[in-house]
Amino acid sequence: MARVIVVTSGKGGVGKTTCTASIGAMLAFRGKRVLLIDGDIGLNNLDVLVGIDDKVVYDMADVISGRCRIKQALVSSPDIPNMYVLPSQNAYNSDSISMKDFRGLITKLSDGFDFIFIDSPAGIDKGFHRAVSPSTEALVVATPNVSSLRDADKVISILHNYKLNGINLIVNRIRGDMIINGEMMSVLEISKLLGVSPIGVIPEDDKIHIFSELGKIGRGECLAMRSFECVADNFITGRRRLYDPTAQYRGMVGKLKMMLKRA
Amino acid sequence: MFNQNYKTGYSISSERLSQILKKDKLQMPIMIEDSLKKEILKVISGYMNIKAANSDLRIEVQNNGKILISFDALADGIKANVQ
Repeated sequence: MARVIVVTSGKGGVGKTTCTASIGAMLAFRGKRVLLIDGDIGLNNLDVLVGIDDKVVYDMADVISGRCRIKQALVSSPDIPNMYVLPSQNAYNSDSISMKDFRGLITKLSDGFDFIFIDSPAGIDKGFHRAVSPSTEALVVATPNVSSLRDADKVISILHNYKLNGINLIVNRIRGDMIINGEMMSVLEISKLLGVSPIGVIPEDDKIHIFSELGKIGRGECLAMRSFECVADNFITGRRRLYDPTAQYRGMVGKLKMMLKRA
Repeated sequence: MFNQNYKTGYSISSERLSQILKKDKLQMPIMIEDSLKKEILKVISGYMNIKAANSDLRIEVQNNGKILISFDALADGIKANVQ
């Protein structure tokens, strides 16, 4: 039976889809069977980030309406073995996929995978609840600023009503130099305020933007990708090994780096 | 670079966020999802042996911090507002 994990945030644009695709890819590279489901109906982007948008023939709505078999709708990237994507419906119709149908679909898929990640839409309305309803765990993605954390807090409060096996946090796009200067909240402060343990800390990294544009998320070498590897290991082992965003700015060399960054 | 111990310091925004979250928590009961509200209504009506008359469950946070839950109901054919 798969671990079914909803990736959510409340606020849009904090990196849910990037985190879903990256963690999924890292788990797949470690031999786990992974399915990524795009839960955002109408504003779907998971296929674009993974680079399989030109391979999509059928989507979730086709599966649920019986126009195709489940396997026909699952798309994989040749670069990432063991990982499949179930694309969302491209046309917007909020009622086309009911909560009951979605839960039924996840139940059918559960035996074939070790991990199922559901990329939730932003917000806390119908789409969010549809994504959460079949999930056994939640991964809340937040960036270290007041508006994102405020929304994350609301989402976490709502998730507590669902009696999930676990709620984890990923702090995305963090900057160690700003933490040291007191200009950005630290991971410990964030964790205390939200009351949730982090399973991943991802640094701000320009290369992620480039990988997204090329549809190569999950592949390529950069600090952020190494942090996602850590997250995948944490999911597998149950440990909490986290990236320290302030490490590179400590000591004489670190101070010099900070000065150059600000110049 | 990957370890558990790192300096945290104190940021300019954590106090502000803390105040915002405290205020938000008072408003949270209003954000209960519709289908859950209907379930709560069914349970309360069943317990009190009254019929909830096609009503929405209203949840308000009052100025004194107390939470008021109310709905319209039918008791022995008479319409009532239950609080």
